[in-house]
Amino acid sequence: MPLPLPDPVLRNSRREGVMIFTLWLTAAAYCCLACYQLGYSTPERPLGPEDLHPIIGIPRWVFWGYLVPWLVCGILTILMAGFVMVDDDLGSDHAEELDRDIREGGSSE
Amino acid sequence: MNTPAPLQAHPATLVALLLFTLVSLGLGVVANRVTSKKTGFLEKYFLGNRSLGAIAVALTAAVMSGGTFMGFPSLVYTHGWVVGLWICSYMVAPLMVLGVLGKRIGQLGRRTGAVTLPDLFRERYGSPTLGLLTSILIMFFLTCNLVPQFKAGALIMKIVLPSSSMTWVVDESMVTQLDAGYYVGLVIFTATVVAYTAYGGFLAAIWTDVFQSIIMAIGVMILFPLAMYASGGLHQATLNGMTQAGNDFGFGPGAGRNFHPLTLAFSFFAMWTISGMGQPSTMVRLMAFRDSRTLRWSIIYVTIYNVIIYVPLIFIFVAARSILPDLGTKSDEVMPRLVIHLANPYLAGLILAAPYGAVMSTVSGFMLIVASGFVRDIFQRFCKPNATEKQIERASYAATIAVGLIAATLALRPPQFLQLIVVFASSGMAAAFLVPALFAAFWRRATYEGAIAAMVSGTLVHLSLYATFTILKNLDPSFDQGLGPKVTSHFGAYYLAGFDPLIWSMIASLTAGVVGSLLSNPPDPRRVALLFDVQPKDAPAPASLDLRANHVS
Repeated sequence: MPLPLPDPVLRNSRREGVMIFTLWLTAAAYCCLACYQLGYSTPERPLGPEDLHPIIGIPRWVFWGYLVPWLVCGILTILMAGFVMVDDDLGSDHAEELDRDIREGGSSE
Repeated sequence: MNTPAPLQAHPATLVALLLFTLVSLGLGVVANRVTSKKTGFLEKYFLGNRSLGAIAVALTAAVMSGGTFMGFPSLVYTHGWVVGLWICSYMVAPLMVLGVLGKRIGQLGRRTGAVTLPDLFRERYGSPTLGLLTSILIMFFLTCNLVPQFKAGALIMKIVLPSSSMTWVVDESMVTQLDAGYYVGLVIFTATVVAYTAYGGFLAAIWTDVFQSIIMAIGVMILFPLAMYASGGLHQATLNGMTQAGNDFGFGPGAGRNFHPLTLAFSFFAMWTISGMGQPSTMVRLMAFRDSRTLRWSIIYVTIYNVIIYVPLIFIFVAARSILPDLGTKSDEVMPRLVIHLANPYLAGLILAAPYGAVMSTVSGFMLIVASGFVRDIFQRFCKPNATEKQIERASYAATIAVGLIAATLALRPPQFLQLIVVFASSGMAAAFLVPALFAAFWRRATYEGAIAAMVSGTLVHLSLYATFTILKNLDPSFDQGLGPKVTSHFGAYYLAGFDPLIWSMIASLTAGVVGSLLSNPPDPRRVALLFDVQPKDAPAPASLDLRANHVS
């Protein structure tokens, strides 16, 4: 007997979920490490006004640490939602069946 | 340091808020009239007939609440640029919150016919116990969350009400003594929000959400150039902030204390995205959007919206340090104070309507979720399975009104630690519901025993870490881990190894869910096939499967 085919919505959602999680993990790792490296003051490396190196008034570590990634992630999100994610048919609504089941006292465990 | 004068808005601000309130009430009436009568009342009232469009999904998923306008600006004002890192996971939040679970939850909602999150879990896993447990936890966490939201609404109304109006209610000498402004504000806020939510249901909550989001965007766009001009530019504002609060205003881990060490930076990158995915309010919206195309467009809209709102908010409140130095303990009021300081009264009214609207829309969404849990999962399933549409309709109105009145009553003695309770409740719900939801959507071997184990473990670890802080603080009032925002109350999060409780509770929930599922018997293959495999167009819902099984036996 052939194995049943997995639902296409499930298949596409899994694939898209893996891509999204990878983007999240990359963004998290980059932002946390870049900000720490460029803009965190420590007892061994105290930072002062001369370390701001402003870019259009914004401290350099802020600009490269989370503003540029924010812009990049925004563009990637638009590309992902616009061109990579698939329009799946989500099927018909079975709310009436469930309602009927509740009225007839259906339950299972 | 000078003590800032008490905050009091111009009467024009009150006019703007009243207009906003009237529009919200109007939206409630229109929402009630336009919803189709063809479908069942519950689906119409609590899910808007699964008809949400892209803009509605996007703007209601923008995760704004009173905290966006009160708590977040205060943090930027106090700790400086590092708060941008604290919030910046919003750069991937739209994809995470809507993209990972969106289509599958939307599909499962349709295939099972679920109207509420407990419905969905119960039908996916075939377990009434799991459904009931979900209902109870939602009611607990959302009630915790509703009380501070009512407080925030009452406080904003108090700021805009002319002080002379209090004498209509109590004697002049008692106005200050009783904090009459707060109670008058609470009554007005409660009456408004209960009225339009009870009458208009889910669609009224959604439309008000959209309306306030648009007002908010307009407000931020107006405030941004005004703040930049008044502060002399971002670089000057940063230097001024560093002079006032210390050099760490311009750097990490933040001014004043170890606000955002690397461990918390990672925790909060997870917090806003993962806790956003696990909110019942998010999952209800994922059951309510129209189709996949709607979902994709809503991700694009909310991405653009977040950039327009949150990046300027960081700039504005860094600049606020230059414009309004020495707010000290009143930093929670930096948003309304800045608006009143920079804008003319009418413009200030428009901008101040945004936080009020954010609180209103948050409250209305939460009230409906608690009410739907009561009506569907307790009244209909346990008390009166054969209830007529009319009885369900009356129960829904009554439950919505009751939830609002209970929360307002609890807010008569409001908690001091507003933002903390919001974070506690939001991350608690993520700890309880996210893993069962992910398993429900993607893992066919997941069982109801595994889902219950995940839900209970996540909740217990979350509660334990908050209880640990409370116990330690009670034993030693000077106890302070030195991380995150300073906690002056006896309630707060214990950062085990420097990480937020959400990280530990998610690890516990995931582990318990996997172990619980693998140790229990595999789920009914017929149910799994209906939800995970390709099905013919006329395939039944799992509920019908149960009915057949019952009839055969």
